[in-house]
Amino acid sequence: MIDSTPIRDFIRTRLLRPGSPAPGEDDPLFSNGRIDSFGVLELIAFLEEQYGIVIDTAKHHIMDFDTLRKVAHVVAQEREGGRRG
Amino acid sequence: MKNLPRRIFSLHGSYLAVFLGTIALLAASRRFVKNAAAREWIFAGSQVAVLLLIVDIDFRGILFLVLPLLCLVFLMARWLAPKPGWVRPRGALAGAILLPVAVLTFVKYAFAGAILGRLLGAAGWRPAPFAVVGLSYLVFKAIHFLVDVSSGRVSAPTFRSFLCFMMLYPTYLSGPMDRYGRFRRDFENPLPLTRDDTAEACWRIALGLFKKTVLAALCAPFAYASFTTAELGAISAGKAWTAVYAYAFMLYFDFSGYSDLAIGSARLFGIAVPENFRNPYLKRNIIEFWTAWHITLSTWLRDYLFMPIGKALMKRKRGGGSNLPVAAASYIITFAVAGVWHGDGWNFLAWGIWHGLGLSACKAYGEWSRRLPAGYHRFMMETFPGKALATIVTFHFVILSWTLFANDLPRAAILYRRLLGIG
Repeated sequence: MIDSTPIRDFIRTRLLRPGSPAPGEDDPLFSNGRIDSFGVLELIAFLEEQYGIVIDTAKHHIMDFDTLRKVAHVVAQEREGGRRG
Repeated sequence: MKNLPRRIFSLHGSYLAVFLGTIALLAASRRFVKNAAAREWIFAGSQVAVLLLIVDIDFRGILFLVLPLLCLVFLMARWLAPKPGWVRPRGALAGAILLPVAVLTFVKYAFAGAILGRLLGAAGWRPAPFAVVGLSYLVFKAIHFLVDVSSGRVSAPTFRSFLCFMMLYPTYLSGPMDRYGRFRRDFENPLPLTRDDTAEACWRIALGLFKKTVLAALCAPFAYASFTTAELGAISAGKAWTAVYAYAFMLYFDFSGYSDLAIGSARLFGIAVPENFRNPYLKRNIIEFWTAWHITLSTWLRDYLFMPIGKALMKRKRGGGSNLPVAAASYIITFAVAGVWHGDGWNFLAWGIWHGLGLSACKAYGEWSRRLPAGYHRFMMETFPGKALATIVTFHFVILSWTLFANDLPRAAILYRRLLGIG
C-alpha cells in the first residue's frame, strides 16, 4: 500500500469546498457529491503525475476513486502493473 | 368514436395478456426447466417474441435491422475481448463502435440518410424503409458492451444474455439503460419474487401509470404542444410561463412514470433495473441535476464520453494553469452529443450546448467561489434560504432549456420573446 497523505492533501486543497475537513480513509467522495466527475479526472491527472503511472479510465469505474483507500489501491495496482509490464 | 372504449380495452387487454403471459412463462421455466442455458434462452426468446408481436412496433425494424446489428456487435465484441498472447489491432475498437453509430446516423437523421442516398446515386433512397424504434438506446448500449468487453471489464459474454440485455422489453423503448455486467447477474440468477417484492413491483407499476395517465395528462393541455406557432406569437407572458412550467412537469411525470413502469415490470421478471430519477427538480446546481435526471443516460455519458474526452484533453494540457477550459470543452462536447442523440433537429443540438455551457458555468462558479469566505459556503450549503435559492435558480435553468427540447428553433425563439414580454 502507499502513503495516501499527498492524495488526501490534494483532495482537501483542490477538490473539496473550502473549510471542509480532510477526508478519512473510507469517507465517500464521489458517491455523496463531495467531488464531481471532473474532480475525479483532476484527481487522476494528479495521481499520474505524482506516481508516474497511467490510469486507463476504460479499465476503472469511477467508483474505484470513491474513497482514499480505494484510490490508494488503484495507485498500488497500477504501480505493480507498471513494474510487471 | 363509438368503438373507442372497446378499442382501448382490447389494446390494453392484449398488452396485459402479453405481460402476464411472460411473467407466467418465466416463472414456469424457473420451476420446471432444469437446464440453465435452456431457461435463459426461454427468457431471451420471450423478450424478442414480445417485441416482434407488440402491435405498435414495426417488426421489420427488429427483424431486418436490429437483430442483424446485434449479431454483428456481439461477434465484434467477442473478437475484441482480451485473449492471452493476442494484441488488439490499433483502431479496432473505434472501428467496431463506428458500425452501430453509422447505422444510427443514417437511419435516424434525415440529412445523413439523404447524403448516403445521393452518394449511392439514388435520390430519395432511405437506409431503412420501415420504422426502427429504440435504436438510439440500443446503440448506446452496444457501445458500452463493446468498450467493456474489449477492456476486459466484462468477461466471456453469452449471446443469450446479450440478446436479452439489449431487448428486455420493459426497457427497450426508453430505458432505463442498464449495464451488461449488472444485468447478467440478474439474468443468470433472477431475483426471487416474494410477496413483498411483488407488492413493491406492482406499486411501482401503479405509480408509473398514475404519473403518466393522470399527472402528465393534467399538465399537457397547458404545455407547448397545445399552441400552434401562430397562437404562440400572441400569447401573454403569463401563458408562456405557464407553458414552461406545465411542460417541465409533464415531461418529468411522463418520463419518470415510464421508468417506474419499466422498473416494476422488469422486477416481476426477476431483473432489478437501475433507478432513473431521484428528485431532479430539487437539486442545487446543474451538476447535481445531471446526477438525478435520466441517471442511466447521464452515467453512460459520463463513463463513455465525458471521462475519455476529459482524460484526453487533460493529457494534452499538462503543466500548470486552470483546468476550466478542459472542463468546459468536455462538458460542451459531451452534451452536444447528448442533444443530437435525443433527436433530429438543430434545437436538440442547441439544448445540449445550453446544458454544456451551464455545467461549465457551474464549474467556473465553483472555482471562483473558493475565494469567498467560509461563511458564504455555509450559507449556501447549510441554510434553508441558501439551499432554496440554489434550487430555484437550477430549476429555472433546466425548465427554460426544455423550451429548446420541445420546440424547433423558430418556435423556441418566439417563446423566449414571449417569456420576456417582448416581440
